[in-house]
This record gives sequence, C-alpha cells and structure tokens, in this order.
Amino acid sequence: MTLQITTVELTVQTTGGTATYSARLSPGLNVLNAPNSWGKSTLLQSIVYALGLEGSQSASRRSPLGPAMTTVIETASGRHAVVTSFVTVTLRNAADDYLRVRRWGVNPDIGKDLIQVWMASREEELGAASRVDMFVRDAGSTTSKVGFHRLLADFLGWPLPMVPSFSGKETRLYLEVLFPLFYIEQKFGWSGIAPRIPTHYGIREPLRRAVEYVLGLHTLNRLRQQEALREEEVALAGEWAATVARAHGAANAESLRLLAVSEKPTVSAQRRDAVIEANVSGEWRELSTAVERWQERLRQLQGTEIAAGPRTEQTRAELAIAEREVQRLGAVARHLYEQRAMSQGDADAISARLASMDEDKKRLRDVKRIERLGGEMELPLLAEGRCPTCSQEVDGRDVATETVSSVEENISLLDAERVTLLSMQSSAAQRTNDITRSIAAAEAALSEARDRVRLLRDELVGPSNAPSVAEVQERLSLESRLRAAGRVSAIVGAVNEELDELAVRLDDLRVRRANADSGEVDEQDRKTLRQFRSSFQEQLAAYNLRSLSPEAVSIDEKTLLPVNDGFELTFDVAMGISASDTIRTKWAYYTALMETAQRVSEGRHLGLLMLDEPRQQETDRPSLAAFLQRLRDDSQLAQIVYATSEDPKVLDQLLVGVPYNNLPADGRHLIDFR
Amino acid sequence: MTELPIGEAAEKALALTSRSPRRRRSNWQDLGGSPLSIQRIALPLPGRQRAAWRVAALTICLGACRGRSATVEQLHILMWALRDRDNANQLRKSWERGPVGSPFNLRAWDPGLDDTLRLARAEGLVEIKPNGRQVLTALGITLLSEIRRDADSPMADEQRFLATLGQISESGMWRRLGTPPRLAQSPDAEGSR
Repeated sequence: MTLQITTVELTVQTTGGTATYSARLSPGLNVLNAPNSWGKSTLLQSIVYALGLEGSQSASRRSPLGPAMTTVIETASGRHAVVTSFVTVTLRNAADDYLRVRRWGVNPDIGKDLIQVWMASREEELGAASRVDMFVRDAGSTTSKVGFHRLLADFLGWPLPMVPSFSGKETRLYLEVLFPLFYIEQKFGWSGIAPRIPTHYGIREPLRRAVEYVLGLHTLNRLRQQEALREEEVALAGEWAATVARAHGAANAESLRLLAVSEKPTVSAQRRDAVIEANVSGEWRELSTAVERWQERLRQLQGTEIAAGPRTEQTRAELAIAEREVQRLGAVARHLYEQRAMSQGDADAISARLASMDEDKKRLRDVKRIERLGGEMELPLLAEGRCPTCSQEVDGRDVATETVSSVEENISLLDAERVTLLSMQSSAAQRTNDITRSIAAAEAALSEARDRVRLLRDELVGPSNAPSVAEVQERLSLESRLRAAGRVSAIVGAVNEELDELAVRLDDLRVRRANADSGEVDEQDRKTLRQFRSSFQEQLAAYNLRSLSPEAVSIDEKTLLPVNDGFELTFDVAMGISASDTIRTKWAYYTALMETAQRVSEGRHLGLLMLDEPRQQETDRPSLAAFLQRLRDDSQLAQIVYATSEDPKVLDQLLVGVPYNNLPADGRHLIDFR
Repeated sequence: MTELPIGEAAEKALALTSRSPRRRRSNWQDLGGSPLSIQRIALPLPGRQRAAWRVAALTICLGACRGRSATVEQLHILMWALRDRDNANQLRKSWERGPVGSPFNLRAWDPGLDDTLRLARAEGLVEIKPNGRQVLTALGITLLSEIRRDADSPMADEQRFLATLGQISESGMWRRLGTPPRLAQSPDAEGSR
C-alpha cells in the first residue's frame, strides 16, 4: 500500500461555536453510509482539498469545499455563519512514515494556497513535530523545495516523469493528472466510460500517460526516446534551413536564383542538387547556358578592337536595339510590380483572416469559460445557451440548420482552417519572394540596358578615333558576371555537399525513429496489459454485463481504454450499451487498474480508491453485491473509501461476510456541534 | 443533432423524395426496421455571436459604467467596440482625442444588442429603470464579480480595453465622442433617452 489515510478531521469555527467531524480510517474497506445531503461528498472533497489536488477536477480556482466549510452551516440549533474552517488529514506511506497536512478553507489571515505540514516516523510523534508551511496550486508546487506536491511525490516515492505537451515541449505528469484514477467523485466522475482526466495541464493524451504511469508500462520511457529523436530532427531541420538560406543569400546578391532546392530536410533518395538560374534579357535560364552565352559574346568582343568612327552605322543600329530593350525591360519590371502588389494583397488578406480567426478562437475559449461559470452559478442561458423563458437553444436562431456546433467543434474547425491558411500564407510569401527576385534581376538588366543606351549615344557624339566605350563597358560587365557566376557556383556546390551529409543524417534518424515507433509494447508491458485485460473481463462477467458479451470488451493496447471490436466503448443507447452497464464497466476498469498496478513490480497505484456513490443509474443489487465482494478481496491491496446513501438494512445484507470499517455518520450533517 | 422518431423521420424523408426526381425511386417503407434517423448538421457560429459571450460582454460593459447602468445608445457603442479590435481602436482614438477639432461624432450600432438585452433581462441579470436605463441586478453584479475574479477569468482583453476608458458616465461619453444633432424620437422607443 503506497498511501493510507489514517485520520480526517474537519473543523469549522462558526458564529454559534465550533462544529467538527472526525474519523479514523482503517486499511481495507471503509464504508460511509449516510442519507443524501448529509455531506459524504463534502468529506471526500475535503480530503482532495487538503492534498491540494482539486485541480484534478477542474481548472477553476474555486474551492471544492461545500457551503458547510465555506459559508454557512445548518444544524439542529439553526444556521450559523462560518468564520474559519480547516481540514486536517493524516497519511501513512509504505515506509511507515506519517505526514499530517492542514489546509484552511476560510481564514482571512491564511491564503488558500498554503498547506501546513508535519512529519514524523510515528503517528504519536506528529503532535510534537515542527510545522512547515508549503504551497500548492501555483507554478513550482511539484519542483520547489516548499512545493507541497514535490513533498507528496517524495512521500509516495514517485518520481514524476516529463511527458509531451501540446506546446511541443515536455511537461510534468502532475499528481492532479493521476489522481482521477484513484477517486471517482459523484457529480461528473460516473459519466462516460473513460476516467475524467484534466486537460488544462496541456499534456498530450493525458489519460493514456496516467494509466501507463500507474501500470508502470515501459511505453512511457520509449515515448521519451521518441521525443528526443523528434527534437534531434527539429535541430537538423534548423541546420538544413540555415544551409539553404546561405545558398539563397549568395545567389540573391548576384541577381541569380536557386531552383529545385528543398527548403525542408529530405532523405537521400529524394535529394536533388540546387539549380542556379540567371536572368538573361528578362528571362530565367540555367546558369551554365547563360555562362556559355556570356563567354561566347566576350570572345567576340575580345577579337575586335574597333574605334568609334568606323562603326557609326553599327552603333546607330545597336542604339535602336538597346532603346527597344529598355522599353521591353521597363514593361517586364512594371508587370512584375503589379504581380508583387497582387501577391502582397493576397498575403495581407490571409494575415487579416488569420488574425480574425485567432480573435474568434480566443472568444470561443472565453465562451467555454463563461459556460462553466454559468454552470456554477446555475444560469441556463450561459451554461447551455438555453432561453430562460422558453428553454429553446438561442444560438440556433443564428444558423441555417438551427443547430450550432459545440465550442470544441467550432475551435477544431478554426484550427483546420488555420492549417490551410498558414499553408496559403507560406505559398503567398514564397511567390512574393520569387517575384521580388525577378524584380531585382529585371531592374539590374534595365539599369544595364539604360547604361548601354547612354554609352552608345555618347559614342555617336564623341571623337571618331576613340575606342568604342560601349564595347569596353559590355566587356567589363560580362567579365564581372562570369566571376560572380563562378563564386556562386562554388558556394552552391559546397551547400549541395552539406545537404547531402544532412540527408544521410536524416536517413539514419528516420531509421532510429521507425525502430522506436515499431516496438511500442514490449513483452513485459504485454504481460501487464494481459493481466489488466483479464481482471477487467473477469469483473465484467461477475457484474453481469448485459449489453455486450464480456469477452467482446477488451482494453486497447494503444489508448488503454475499454474497446468493443476495436471501437472505443462509449455510453450510447444507439450502440446498445445501457447506462447501468456503463457503471459496471467503470467499476471493472478502476478495480482492474488497481489490482494490476498493485501486483506488477513497477506499478504505481496510490493504494487508495475513493468511490463516491458508486451505485449510479439504479444498477441492480446482485451486480453491486459482486462488486462489494471484489472490493473485499482487494482489501489487502488498497484502502477503499466507499460513500453511499444506500438503505442501511440493504447495505448490511450486501456486506454480509465483508469486513469493513464503518465511518461515523451520525447527526443531521457531517459538520455538527458534537 | 436532433433525432426524430422513425415514423416522423420516414415521413419527412418521403416528403423530400417526392420533390426530388432522383430520390423518388426509393420507397421508405422498404427500409423496414432499419435505424433511419435524420440529423441536422451543426454549423459553426463565431464566438461574438454566441449568446453566452454577448451576455457576458453586456455585463462587463454595464460594469464599466457609472452606477453599473447605461442607456441603450451607450451600450450600442460599447458592445460595437467589443465586437472587433478595429472598432475598439476607433473608439479609443475618439475617446482620447475628444470631439474638439474632429469633424465626426462617433456613434455605432451593435445588431445583436436588443436580443442580448432581452436574454439578459429574462435571465435576471439586467433590468430597466423607470428612466429607461439598463442596470445590472444583484445577480448581474455577482456574475460580473465572477468574470472579474482572477487573471484566468474570461474576456480578459475586453476587460482591459474597458478599463482604459475609465469609469464611463453618460455625459462624459458624449463629451468625448461628440453630440450629433438629435432627430425627433418616438416616445415609446425602447431605451429612448
């Protein structure tokens, strides 16, 4: 047994005096049998509160304690306002150490995030132990020296691992994420088949991670290896992008462009060398072709040394051609400007849509919070969007089918649209960059053509015996271009080699990832899962599952949830699963998890199971009797707290032959003047 | 999703097929005991059009006004500003600049306000004073304090924006946004003052 609650005390200072409740719990089965509204849930929630684990139920910072612990108590002598209140819980761990925790529900001088702690190696010594103040419900409560959940995890002997989060980084598997596997609260805990695991910690697949941890499955370690490989791939992608950017930078500086180079890492089989293109008279051509042309022209120019006078006619003809070239290149540049403006317009429209989607998503998240608030305040308009007068769904009036998608569906839709828009945005940015490169090349060609026109005009009015300036200029320009082409080719050649090396590294990485992914369940894990499945199915048969054959219901190896024929089991009358069978399935799941985790060497069950009103949905008594018998058999494995409002006579019959500790449940209410 | 009983669903399906030549060939009676159901497709609705958001926005708008009460005309401007970031920027600029030297008086209209007010009144969050002003009830004030509870509370951006306007009084609002020449008003118009 990892953890045992030995005592629970509730103390409420009221305007009419001090009201209390105190109970001593035994190892094994503890039964709290009291009528409705007596305060059974308040007692269990007080334990949760004392351990600072209310985050396991909701992201709200609202106290889970009922009004009797926070506002007013009703006793036989009347109503009394609560002045101060606190819960004290004493715990024992497997090493027989004792931990006493106290948390205040109401106290103007002490914050709710503070937990007072005493530790001793014997229970009697707790009274003399010195108090340490620790905190919960705040950043660092699992890592700080004065964080209570760090102490509690140490007390349990549980190292809390890091697991993947939705942000792409790792986050700790908090105690709040594990706790719903040990406590089924009455209000929402019995709905649905899967345990309700909090999602507000941003952990990916939190239920699967929690069950893996409790069962001690090796998949959790393998998951961390996979995460490390993913990080390695991200780093490689960064190197790849920087290398490609260097090649682009070199080409852009010389009005050249690169094609066929993959911006993202590619494996060796798909790797292609980058192609360099040069703009020749407004058209992109492969650099080798352009270089041949330039070299040919240069040879022609080097072979003739003509003065300006004898070539006047030729100069006039060249001037006419050069002027037409200036006009043509001007038109090309203007066309490219228009294209760039349109492309930028597209990019702006996409950015505006993305911004409005982000805003809408934020509002939809707010709607979720408002709905929760509406639920807490019992405002049907806010909680369910129902008209307070006619109970019709009000938002339905604003859509054509009169049925509005849920906030979650709406957010999913926005997320899907966002992916498309981001891809369009990236494509628009790439197009704008391409056009910008073409503009730079066209402007450079235009400037060169204008220079040539000016030189040819100067030559026509200059001395006839002077050398042809236009030819000299053209020669210099060609030589410069050829030198630049050589430089860029060398840089791109080196880049191609580096990309080849990165592609080989990526090949290796992919192989390692495939190996890590393929063997997700090892033999030891498979054995543990077999035990889990077998206990689960055995119980379903014992509890008389009717909707499906117990053999047809199993535990999925990947999701670790109950499945029927490969499909996740959900409570759905249309699928033929009754509400009472949902409850039988839940009993079997929680108990099988506890039995398996306590029997395998690496399992980490708390050794505590708290069940608040397990007989939901009028589940028949023979099934309940079978469940209680199972709990009796498990009483060596864990401490079980069973709260019920069952008729005491019926309960006595159900518990015949079951040893249990009866928790005190006298008086009108849990909190009373005793 | 609305599920209809099989008989009703089949009748509707028949009505559909009789209008559609392509579907007319199918005979619904042949379906026998098959689990036929007709479902309405749920369509998305932006957050700002959802009743929960609008009512919460109305609550924080009234909470930002002096005495937690405002005229419908004031609320139209504030709700219009909360609907969109550009609107909010426009209001903030007019608010900071004031009407002096500006040829415009800022007035705006929120198409969903009347509906939002009706819903909020039905829920008991808002009531109308005899002078036509809308005011938060005790329940509305409780909701307001819950919305303002902590940093993690909903509508944090909207609350921050309203806080930049300070406490809003009717006269102060018109002084900053300008007063257009008024047309003759119908005496029985809702919130006419």
